[in-house]
Amino acid sequence: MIDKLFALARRDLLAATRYRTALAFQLVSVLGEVAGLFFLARAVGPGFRPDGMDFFPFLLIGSTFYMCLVGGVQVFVETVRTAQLNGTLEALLSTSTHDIVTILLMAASSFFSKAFQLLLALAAACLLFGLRLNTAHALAFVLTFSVSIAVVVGIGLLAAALQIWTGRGGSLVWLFASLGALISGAFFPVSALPEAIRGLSWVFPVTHSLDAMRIALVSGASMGGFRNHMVVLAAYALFLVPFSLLVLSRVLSRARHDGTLAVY
Amino acid sequence: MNRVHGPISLGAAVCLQSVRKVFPAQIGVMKWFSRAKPIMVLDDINLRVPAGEVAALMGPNGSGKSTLLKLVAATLLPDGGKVTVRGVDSATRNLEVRRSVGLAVAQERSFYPRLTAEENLSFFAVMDDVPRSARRARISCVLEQCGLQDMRHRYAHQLSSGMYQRLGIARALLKQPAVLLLDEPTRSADPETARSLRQLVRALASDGTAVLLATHSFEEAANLAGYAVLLSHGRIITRLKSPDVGRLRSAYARIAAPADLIEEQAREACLS
Repeated sequence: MIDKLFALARRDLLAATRYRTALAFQLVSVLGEVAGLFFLARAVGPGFRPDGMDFFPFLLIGSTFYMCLVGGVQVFVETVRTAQLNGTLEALLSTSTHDIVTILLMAASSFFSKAFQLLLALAAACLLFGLRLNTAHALAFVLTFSVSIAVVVGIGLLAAALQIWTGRGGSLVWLFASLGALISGAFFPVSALPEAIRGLSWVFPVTHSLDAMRIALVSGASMGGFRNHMVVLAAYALFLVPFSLLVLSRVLSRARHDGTLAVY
Repeated sequence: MNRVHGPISLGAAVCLQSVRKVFPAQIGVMKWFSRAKPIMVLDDINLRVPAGEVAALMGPNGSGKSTLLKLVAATLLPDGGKVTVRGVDSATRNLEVRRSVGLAVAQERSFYPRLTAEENLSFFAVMDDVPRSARRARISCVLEQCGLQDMRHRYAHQLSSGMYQRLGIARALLKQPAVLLLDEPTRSADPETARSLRQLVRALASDGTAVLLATHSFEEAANLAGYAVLLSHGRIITRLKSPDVGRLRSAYARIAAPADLIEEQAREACLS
C-alpha cells in the first residue's frame, strides 16, 4: 500500500514539476492569499476580536484550513474526472489494485499538495506577517487534522461516486464549498449569522474542524470546547467513511455492469 | 454456418458460457426516466480459449469484439452467463481475474502524457503488484519485447500512435499475464513492427499464454490464430479452426456489409 501511495505521489510530483509555470503560480498565489488576509485584518482593525482572538489568525486559520478541507473533497472528484478525461481510469481500474484503494490513493496523493499549501500559508504568515503560534498544541493540531481528513474522505468518496455515476461529482463539491463559506465560520464568526442559520452551522462538520483548529493553534487547546468538537467530528467520520465506501463500491460495480467506468 | 457448441472445460484459460451483455440506453439518473430500449451488445456467447492458444475475434465495427475482450478483462461484467478466467468467475472474484489478465486496448489515450514511457510503465507496474525487486528488469524486458527500448525516456505525448499502441501492449505484459487480450494490436503499426508484434504473440503463446486477439486483418488472424470466431450483431456466427485467409474472407463476406469488406481488402493490400 505504501509502495502504491509512493508511486502515485511520485507520478503527481513528476507531473507537477513538468507543469512548472502552474506550480510557480500556485506557490505565489498562496503567498498572495496570506498577504491579502493580513491587510484585510489590518483594515478591519484590532478592535474586532472574534472568539477572543486577533482577526488575522482567526481569518488565516479559518480560510486556509477551510480551503484545505474543500480541496480535500475536490481532489476526489478531480482525480477521477482527470483520469476519465485522459483515459487512464479504465486502465487503472483494470490493474491488480482494488478499485477503492486506487481512488483513495489517487486522492491522497493529490491531497498532499493541499496540505502542503496549508503549511506553507502558516509558515508564510509566521515568517512574513508576524503570526505567533507559540501557544499551539501539536497533538491537538494533529488530532484535528486527522479527524477532519477522515470526514473529508467520507464526503470526497461520495463525490467520487457521484462523478462516476453521473459524471457531475463537482456539484457536490460546489454545494459543500458554497454552504461551507456561508455557515462554517471560515471568514467571519458564526455569531454574526442569524439565529436560524447558526443552528445549521453547528451540524456542519467543517464548523467544528475550524473551531478545533483555531483552539489547537491559537487558543492553547482549552480542552473542554476542543473535546466537544472532536466528538462531533469523530461521529461524522464513523458514519461517513463506511457509508461512502459502501456507496462507492456499489456505484463502481454498477459502472462495470453498464460499461460507464470511463464515461464522463 | 459452422456453429460449434461443444462441452466447455472449466480448465480452459478463458471460458465464456452463454454470456449476454446489454448496455442501458441511458446512463446515470436518466436511466430511470428513459423508455429507450437497452442495447444488446453480446448474446449467447460460448467460447473457450485454452492456455497456449491464440484465438482471433473478427467482425464488423460494432459486432461486440471489444466488449467481449473487456468482459474477459473484468472491466465489464456480464448481464447473463458466466465469464471465467482460469476457473475464476469474473463477476464474483473480479480482482483475482484482473491479476491474471493483461488488456491492451486500441484506445488513443491511456497514459500520463507528461511522464516518460518508462515512468508510465513503472507506475503501472506498482499498481499491478509487480514485486519491487523484479520491477526494473520487467520494465526493460517488456520495452524490449515491444521494440520500445530506445523510446523509454520519451514522454508519452511524444510517441507516435503506433508506439503508443505498443506501449499499451508493454503495459499489458508487465504482470506476465496468463491471458493476454489484444484489441487490434497492429492497427497503427508499420509492416515491420506488425511482423515483430506477431512474432511476440507467437512466442507468448508458445510459452503458455492464452491470447485473445480482436482484429480486422485476415492475414493476422490466419497467421496467428489456431481458432477464429466471427461475430456479427453480438452473436457468434462462424467458428473456424486453423483459419486461412481465403476461408476467413469468404466467411466474413457473408456477414459484413460490402463497404467493410472493401476497406479490409484495401488494408490487406497495403500491409502485404
